Amino acid sequence: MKELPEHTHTSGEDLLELLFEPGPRSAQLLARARTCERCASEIVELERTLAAIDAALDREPASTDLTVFRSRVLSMTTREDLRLIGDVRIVLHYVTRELKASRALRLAAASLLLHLLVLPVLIWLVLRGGPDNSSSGTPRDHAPELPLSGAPIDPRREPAPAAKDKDDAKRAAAALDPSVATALAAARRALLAAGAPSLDPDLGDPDPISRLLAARAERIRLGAWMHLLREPPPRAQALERALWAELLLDDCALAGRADPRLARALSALEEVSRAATPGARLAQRAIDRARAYGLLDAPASGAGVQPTARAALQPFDPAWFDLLEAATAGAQATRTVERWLEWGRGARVRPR
Amino acid sequence: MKGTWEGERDPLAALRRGEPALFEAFVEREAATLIGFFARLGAARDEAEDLAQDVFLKLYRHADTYEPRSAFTAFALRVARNAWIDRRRRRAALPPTRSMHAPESGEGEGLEADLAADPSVEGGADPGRRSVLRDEGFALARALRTLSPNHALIFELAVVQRRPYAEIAGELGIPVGTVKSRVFNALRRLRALLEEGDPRS
Repeated sequence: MKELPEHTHTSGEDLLELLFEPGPRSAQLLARARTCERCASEIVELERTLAAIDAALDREPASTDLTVFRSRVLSMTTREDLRLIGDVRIVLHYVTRELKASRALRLAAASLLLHLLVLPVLIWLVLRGGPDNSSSGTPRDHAPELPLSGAPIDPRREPAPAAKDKDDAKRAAAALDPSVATALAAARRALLAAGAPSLDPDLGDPDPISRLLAARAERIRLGAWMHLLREPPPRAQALERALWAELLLDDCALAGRADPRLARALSALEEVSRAATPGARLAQRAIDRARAYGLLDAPASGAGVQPTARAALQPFDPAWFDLLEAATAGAQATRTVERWLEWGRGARVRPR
Repeated sequence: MKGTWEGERDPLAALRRGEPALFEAFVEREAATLIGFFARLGAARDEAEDLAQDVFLKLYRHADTYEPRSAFTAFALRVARNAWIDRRRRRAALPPTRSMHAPESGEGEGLEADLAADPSVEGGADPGRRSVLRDEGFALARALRTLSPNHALIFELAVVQRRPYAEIAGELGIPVGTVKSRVFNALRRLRALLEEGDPRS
């Protein structure tokens, strides 16, 4: 600090420096300067200006806001949370800040949120309208529409995926042999309309014939059979093989696609169908039914089912029940077989 | 700056030694200083916080390569000044969206907004005094925005922080006479603007 001269005039810059610099020396020099009218006026002006500035500048932000600010800075520096939640917090802060700053961004975010909220509702509405979500009904009501797969049905192929919508089903129907389609549709109608014999409460019946008949009833009434069925062994009787094939044919008519095991079942029937026993004749009926569904080629002799007769070949008719009764007559009839025969004798289930 | 952050109390040097306590104390003590600095230059409150936060983050990230060649306070204020200059450049690059007579977007809201919300101004017992304080505060806030970044920085160090001229000169690497004249010119300009009333009129 340079020594002020004895005379009264002092520059504004020096006076300001004296005002900033506390201490007895500055006070003494200022007192001396105030004796000069011009310098005193300058000092007063400077003091007024500084007072006004101090009044405005000394106002600091609210302490609560500063607490949040300090925490935020520390959380991004020395106390940075290196876990995932720390990153999420930083991103959220950034997003919040950007949203506050931009009205366009706020509008875009609101639009996105609206779409995200509406989308699940739309999906729900679309799914709710589907055939699988009907609120009530018997298992019959859940039966798929025929035909569900591409046609003609080939049991040697893997099961085709189910049609995704009604348009697919219509296209598949158009591609299907009309007589086969008619036979399948008629069989399906017959299965659904006939219902099935009431289930024997004794489902643990060890007899394979009873188990197969119970499985047919379950497939028709419940949409699936509960028994763990195995393919009949090579030395199985013709009746057992025929019922196994009939079960798979029921499934084919109801589901619209052939079980892969059906090809083997039909092939096995060929061997046992040549005899003159009731079981063999039942086997032959199953073969005819498979032909009606387009699953087997017509025999070269032309002795198979004629196309005009296909629609008339029903899963259950008096002849079939007569053959069943004849085939089971020699053995001790189980409760399940009896129920089936009783059901077959009933007038209401006699084929139309 | 309110505290002393030189020598052994240098926050970045302490960080390099693996001692974060001093940096945390620096944030604790100087958060208001930096926010106020940007607000006085005309930043809105939110923007002033963002700028202050950026300064703290830059300092923290600079710790690994920091060499305490000069006073830490001057270094921190240079970082703050550069942040403000960068902000002004970014704003200048944006297309104008407001009237020429309207304040720059985000400006005119900083200190003025603080003053408007300050209960010590709005809720004082003397309505006349309250009005004078508020009017002076608004006028000063507007006048401060007319200072150049260099004058604003000198004003901050000398008038707001009341640091000795010699120290400011040493920190900024300029002669004491330059500091003295810039402080006086800045203050004279503010006084003239205050006497005129609205500096934009």
